[in-house]
Amino acid sequence: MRRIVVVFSSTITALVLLMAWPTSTNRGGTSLASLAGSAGSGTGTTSGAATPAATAPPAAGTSGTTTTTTTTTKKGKDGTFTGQSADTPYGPVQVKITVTGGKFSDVNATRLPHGNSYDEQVDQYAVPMLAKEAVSAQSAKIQMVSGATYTSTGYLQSLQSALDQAGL
Amino acid sequence: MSTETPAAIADAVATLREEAAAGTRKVWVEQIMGMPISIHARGEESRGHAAEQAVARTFADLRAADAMFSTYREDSQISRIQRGELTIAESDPAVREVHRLCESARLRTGGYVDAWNSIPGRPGVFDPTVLVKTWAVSRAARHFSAVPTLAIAIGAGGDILLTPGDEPEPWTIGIQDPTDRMRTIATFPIREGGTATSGLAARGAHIVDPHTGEAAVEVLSATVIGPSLMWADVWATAAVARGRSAIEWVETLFGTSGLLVMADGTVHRWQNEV
Repeated sequence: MRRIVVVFSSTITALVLLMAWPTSTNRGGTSLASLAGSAGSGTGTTSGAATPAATAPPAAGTSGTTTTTTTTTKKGKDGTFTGQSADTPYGPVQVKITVTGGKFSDVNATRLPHGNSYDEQVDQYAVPMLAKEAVSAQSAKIQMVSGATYTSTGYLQSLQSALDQAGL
Repeated sequence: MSTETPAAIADAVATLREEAAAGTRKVWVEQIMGMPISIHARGEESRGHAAEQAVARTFADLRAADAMFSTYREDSQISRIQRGELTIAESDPAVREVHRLCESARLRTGGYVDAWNSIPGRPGVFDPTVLVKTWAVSRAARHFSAVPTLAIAIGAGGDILLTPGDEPEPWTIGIQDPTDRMRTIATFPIREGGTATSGLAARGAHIVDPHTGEAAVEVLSATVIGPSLMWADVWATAAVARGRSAIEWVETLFGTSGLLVMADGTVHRWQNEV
């Protein structure tokens, strides 16, 4: 293997460059050492306790969105909450969440981009998976995706605003 | 290879749902530069006024950069430069800075990222679009120095800037599988820096080898992780433009790691010391 190594001392960032294959279970201990000292801390594992926030701020500050429809008014209560419509270059994305027993129980996309066949492919395939997976208590803690494009970002935006309304 | 991997976006949504419910992450999204730009904040201050203010200032910065650099706006400084109405020397200091960075990028990539050879049929016309987005995001993120406890991630078209704040856990980022947009091909933790993915997965983005004018097809996607988001972006674009020789070339990118997904189905990973 060709590898050019130039050794500087310390300072160069706290960047943790531990890459793990998603199918691997030994994330902290692969041979790909990190550059900075604090490597094997693994990935985020402790969040996600179902503790509702005490209060909810106003809906996410966004622009270029259309109005919000809320079908249930009291925050933290059961009902459905419709997120802001998020504009993407391919059309609006909007989701609706259902809160049951004070907990987030379902999510559905109510508006999705339509346009070229690529968009339709995304709609029919990607978004049902989004809706299904979002409520299934996924154990993977991927927070963002490098390379992911517009529809998913719009989905996240609308979901956040629905959660804000629900007080979750 | 990714058959056991759960759906990438679904994971991100699920994690957001958990973190939002726990009050540990907040997301803001605005439409700027023709794409949604998302700011994610983790930490106790994520719901406070200072965070809101930093978010507003960051978005304002990005809108200002768009007004200055957009090639879709007739009155932007870049459009005026392209029409010959404004010289680099007369332009805003930010434009001059980007101009210098484009020159560095051209030299450091062996011409594979060339802001003077990026418009088909118009060689010599300056178009810094290739790096303006990640340059602007990196610059705008300075407003979060007012809220240093927050861990921040700013996503713009699949490229992500990350800061650690006081959060004990790193960010966890998935890399999209270019052959199946709903899957991740790898994940990695990162506390600080940037990650950029270029390639055919980004809709409509065709990267051309400036030396031949032909679309680059040998590298389906290149993800580069490094201390600088803008340079990660430049390296990722250059890697796709290079084609097969990118496999050797990425070994020269000190202080970066990353992943190349080749059109022949092979995957090349690297991690270089600083």
